Amino acid sequence: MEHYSIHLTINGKKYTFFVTEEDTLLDVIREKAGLTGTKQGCGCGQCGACTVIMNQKAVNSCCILALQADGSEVETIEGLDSPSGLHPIQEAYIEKGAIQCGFCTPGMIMSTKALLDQNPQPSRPEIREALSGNICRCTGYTKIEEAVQAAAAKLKEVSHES
Amino acid sequence: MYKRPKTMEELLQASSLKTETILAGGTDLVPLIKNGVKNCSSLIDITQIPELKKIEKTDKGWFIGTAVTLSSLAENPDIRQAYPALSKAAGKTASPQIRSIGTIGGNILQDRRCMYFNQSAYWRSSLPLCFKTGGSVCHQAPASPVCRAIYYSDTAPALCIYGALAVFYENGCRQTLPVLDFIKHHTAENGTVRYKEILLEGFLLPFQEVPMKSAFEKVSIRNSIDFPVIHFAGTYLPAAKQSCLYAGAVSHYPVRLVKTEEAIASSSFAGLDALTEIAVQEIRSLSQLIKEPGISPKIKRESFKNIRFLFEELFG
Ligand SMILES: Cc1cc2nc3c(=O)[nH]c(=O)nc-3n(C[C@H](O)[C@H](O)[C@H](O)COP(=O)(O)OP(=O)(O)OC[C@H]3O[C@@H](n4cnc5c(N)ncnc54)[C@H](O)[C@@H]3O)c2cc1C
Ligand code: SF4
Ligand code: FES
Ligand code: FES
Repeated sequence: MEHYSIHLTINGKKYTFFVTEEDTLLDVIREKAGLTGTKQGCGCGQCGACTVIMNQKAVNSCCILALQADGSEVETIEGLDSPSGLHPIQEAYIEKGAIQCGFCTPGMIMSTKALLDQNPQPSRPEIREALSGNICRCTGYTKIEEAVQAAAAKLKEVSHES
Repeated sequence: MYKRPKTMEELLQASSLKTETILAGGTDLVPLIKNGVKNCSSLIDITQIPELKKIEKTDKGWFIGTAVTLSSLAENPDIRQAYPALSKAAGKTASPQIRSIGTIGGNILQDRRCMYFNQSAYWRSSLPLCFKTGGSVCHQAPASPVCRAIYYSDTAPALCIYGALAVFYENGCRQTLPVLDFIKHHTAENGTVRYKEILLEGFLLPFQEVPMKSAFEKVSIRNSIDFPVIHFAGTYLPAAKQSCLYAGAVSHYPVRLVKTEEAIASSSFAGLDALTEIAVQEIRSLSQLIKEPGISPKIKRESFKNIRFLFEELFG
């Protein structure tokens, strides 16, 4: 096993990490950057719990080698936090009761953010399509869909105010 | 060792040792590395090479580079217009997260799957090695002299119906093969993949001289993330009653439904129900089903009749 240095920008902050061929982006985010908001579920692309945004696209961080991510810009759930409080997407998930055990939530929220960043007013089929790589064992998805719609409305309001 | 060449020249030089594994999106390879059935001791990442990421019109047809992601392929307006079944197949593969990074080349070269193979090293340690992991038995069919694992690529039947050619290097020589022959060529008899000898550059899709109808239909258990239970792709040229039909996820590679195509050409069927029955019988005779997680072979056989949805698209 060799060691390589990689450079990542995570939530706007620049990092250098030493990794091997075996380390995944998820390993780096959780174990090296200490950002444990991103979860590991299946570890093989089937659940979406590990979803982060890499170069503006939602990806499964468990299936990407850290070396593949070298030079990328990554956003994790911690990046949504701000001194003024929760992000409108997080507020919408709470208000709509779209969170039960919460294990899928960071991944769901990152898929939601990737969608709303590209498409601020998605239709119901577009929401379902964008979240189709995230599995929730608790909520039954209806509340999540409502939360994404509510988040879109909140973000529209924020953009009008600013 | 990990290399990320930036040009085709660097790539050809780096891959000449034949000990390297090509890494594209890694969505097929990385889970297999984690399960201990592939190793990552020598990886060449091909995703930074501009020539391999382009979709362009050439004088021979449309060229799609091996490292084009499934999401870029599905969203490309030229491909959607010229090859709608391919565009739909790419958009129906796996999940948005996988399509964002998974490539068309990796999709075609993905390993065949089996419930005895796609398991952790710990799970597999309770059984002797099978053909696909270097042993001499098949747990699915102990009398079989070869691995029976199934090939699930969603884009494969769609490339086949348009007569796509795979452009690749083998032992440093650039060559082309029809996609189906390329898939067969790439899969060694015991089910392991000859991934160290082949470097895929992309696919060449001939122009459609006469506009044809084409369609793709996929059946899966949850309609998201899942591999296909079965999928179908087809083209139809009404004036000549000429069709090209493929079914996939039922054998080692996509199967061509020649008898059904002949029935269409000779109009020797009375309505879509009768045509569906001909196709179901043909898929039954060509399929080589094995035990799969979440679906019994009996239910899977029932799914064959969904080819009717393809016919409705093509003849509707
Ligand atoms: C949860 C999950 C669901 C999935 N669902 C589907 C599905 O519904 N339908 C489907 O068709 N597939 C599915 N897949 C399989 C597959 O991961 C993706 O379809 C994807 O397209 C693979 O592309 P990749 O770029 O990630 O391949 P990689 O993992 O990078 O590569 C796959 C294989 O091809 C080889 N390879 C890649 N490019 C080249 C090249 N240019 N030259 C030589 N060798 C090369 C690699 O060495 C490796 O052996 C799924 C995978 C997962 C994990
Ligand atoms: S089909 Fe047989 S040889 Fe192939 S992976 Fe499964 S058990 Fe192993
Ligand atoms: S942990 Fe990555 S997809 Fe399940
Ligand atoms: S809230 Fe429990 S898995 Fe989604």
